[in-house]
Amino acid sequence: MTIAGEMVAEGEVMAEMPTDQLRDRENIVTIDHVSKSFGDKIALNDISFVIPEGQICGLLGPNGAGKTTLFRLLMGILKASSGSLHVAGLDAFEDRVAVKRLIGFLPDEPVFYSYLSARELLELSAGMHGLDVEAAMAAIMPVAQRLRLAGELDNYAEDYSRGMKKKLGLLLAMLHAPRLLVLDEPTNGLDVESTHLFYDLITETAAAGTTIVFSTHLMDHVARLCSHAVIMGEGALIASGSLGALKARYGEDDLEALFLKLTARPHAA
Amino acid sequence: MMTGDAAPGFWRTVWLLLKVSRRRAGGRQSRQRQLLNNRRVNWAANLGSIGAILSLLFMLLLHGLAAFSVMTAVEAGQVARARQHGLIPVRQWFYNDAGTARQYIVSDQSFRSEAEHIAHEDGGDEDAIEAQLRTLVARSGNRHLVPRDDAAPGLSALPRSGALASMLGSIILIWWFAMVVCQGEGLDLDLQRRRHPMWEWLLSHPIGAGAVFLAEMLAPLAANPTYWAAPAFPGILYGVTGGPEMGVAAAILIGIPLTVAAACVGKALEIGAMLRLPLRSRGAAIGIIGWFGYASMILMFFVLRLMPGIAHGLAGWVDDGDRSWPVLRLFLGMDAAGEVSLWRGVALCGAVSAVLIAAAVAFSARSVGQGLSGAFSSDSAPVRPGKAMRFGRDPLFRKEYLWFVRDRSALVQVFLIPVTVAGIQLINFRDVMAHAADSWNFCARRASSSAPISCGYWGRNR
Repeated sequence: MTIAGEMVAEGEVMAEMPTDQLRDRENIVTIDHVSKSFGDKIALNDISFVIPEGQICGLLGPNGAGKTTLFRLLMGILKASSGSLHVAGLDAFEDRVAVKRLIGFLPDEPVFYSYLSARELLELSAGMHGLDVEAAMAAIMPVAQRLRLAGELDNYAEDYSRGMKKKLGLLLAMLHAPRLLVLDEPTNGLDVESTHLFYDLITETAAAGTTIVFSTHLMDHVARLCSHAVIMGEGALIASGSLGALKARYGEDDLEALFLKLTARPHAA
Repeated sequence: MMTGDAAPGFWRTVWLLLKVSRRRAGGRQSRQRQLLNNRRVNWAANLGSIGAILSLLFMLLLHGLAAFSVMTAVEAGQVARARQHGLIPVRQWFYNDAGTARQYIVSDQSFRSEAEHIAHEDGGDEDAIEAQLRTLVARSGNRHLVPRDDAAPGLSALPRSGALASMLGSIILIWWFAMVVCQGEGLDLDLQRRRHPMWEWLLSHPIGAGAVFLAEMLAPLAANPTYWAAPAFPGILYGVTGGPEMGVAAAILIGIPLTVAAACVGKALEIGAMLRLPLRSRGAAIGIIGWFGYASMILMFFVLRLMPGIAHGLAGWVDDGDRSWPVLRLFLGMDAAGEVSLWRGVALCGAVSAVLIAAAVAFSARSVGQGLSGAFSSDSAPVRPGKAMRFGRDPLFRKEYLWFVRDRSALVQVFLIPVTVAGIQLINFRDVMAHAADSWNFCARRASSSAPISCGYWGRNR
């Protein structure tokens, strides 16, 4: 695996893991020299990194760094201009139908069909995942209760507040118990209590074996939750690896200071 | 891991999405009722269904008009052909009078009345037609005249009616289909569409793009009364040529597949525009499709009156032996002798509909081949107005000016829609003025003479 840019090599990413675990773990996400252009605008430029299975990985970067584009490429919604993205060995675009059985996706701004209640949306999503709808609804209900959304499920999702839409988006993303959860700025619009609830849920889900990738601007949450981080700036990869390895490499104990240091000099070696 | 053993298949996905469309339509209706009730309109509960019935009736009228336009086009072509062969189509009573009694029995009033009728039906100058009628009748009685019913036998004689009738009828048929294709989910034009977030959400599930788009294509059928009423068009045409039973059967067996195909093609065009065109051209393309659907629907009301003039104008340009316009004949399942076969029509229209539906689904699914981002070009950077341009210093004017310069959908909003509406109003105004003039003349002559005077078209008929 060739890894471009100022980043930590694959071996280094895994350095903190015991050797036997290291041998057994797969990289659930492999991004290899991916570029994406929209006309003249280069959104992503030769990005390469891997995310080992079972980790919580925070994707950090200033606005316009290309985080959302990367997620949309991972979901097979966009096609890379060059390079390849693999999820559990499957090409994210060519095998996109199969890949979507493995991924749950929460977009930055979830949009729902008008005149459908949250319950109807969950049922539709379960149907489109090929699940037993009743079983899926029964399984997701405790999560809905925990997110304090259970009492609102019969209301039109379109009328929800932004935070409630985020919660419903998370329920939809988790409905089929995916191997990989991709969350684009999941706590945007959430109140403090909901944010904590959200992250508790993410931690528990990851403990159950689900790999989680999420983008955020909140460094303390990354520092608290994530085992790995990917830092991007202006469409390029600046650094990636385990938090410990990154801090050691750049001599910064504080993640926020590390982030500011790296993004202030986006293409520095 | 709860992941389903098998992702839903193509038809299961289509069924799921259609079921949801129906549920959304129900939700929309109940929300509208709720809003009206909130305004204390007590009869609001019934307004939705009355509105739907009125819309359906209007659309039935429209498709009926389209069917009659086809018949009018064919008859206009037949009349023009007769005139090309040196025969003047006249009403039966005039033909009989001219044949049996020569011109000294045919009164001046009759010549005048017939000339006015011909000019009204087929176009041309009344005085010139009257002079021509007088000359022909004086010279050879009714030898150069033909009863109108014989000159324009209508659809049943289509194979023997020459190229012009086939061409005009086929053009109206294709026009009707294009009109239905461009209807979309309603009359509202969404010119600002940049992306389709629901496609992104739907396609984040393990389902094929083809199934998603087929369901999208079928959804307008549940929402737009233009589609509900469209089967009336083939129903009327087959009813006229083969009887009422055949008409009902054609509405079901031909009308429904054709309507589904039209909805699919329309949505495929929209999907193609969304996924293949640059960002600022999408709204324009979708706007033009919507405008065409609207303008062609309105223009259908004027076709009946304009068609004789069009046929008259085209008659000299079309080779009578040209057989390159068989569309209407094939649509009606007609053989060379003019025999209409419902089953031939069903087979042909069914095959065409199936091919169109399959092509629309394949095209849409293929459009996702580059992802949902669509095509991008240099239009992602705003056009900078020239320094010489002084217009729009005021921020509000400037905002509008920059929108006009940068957004291609401005073409639809600034030009096409106003020009269409102005054109319709001009035609209406012309009619109002003509009727006012006729009424004024009629009243003036009545006032100056006690004798009954026919004035204006409504007074001219015998």
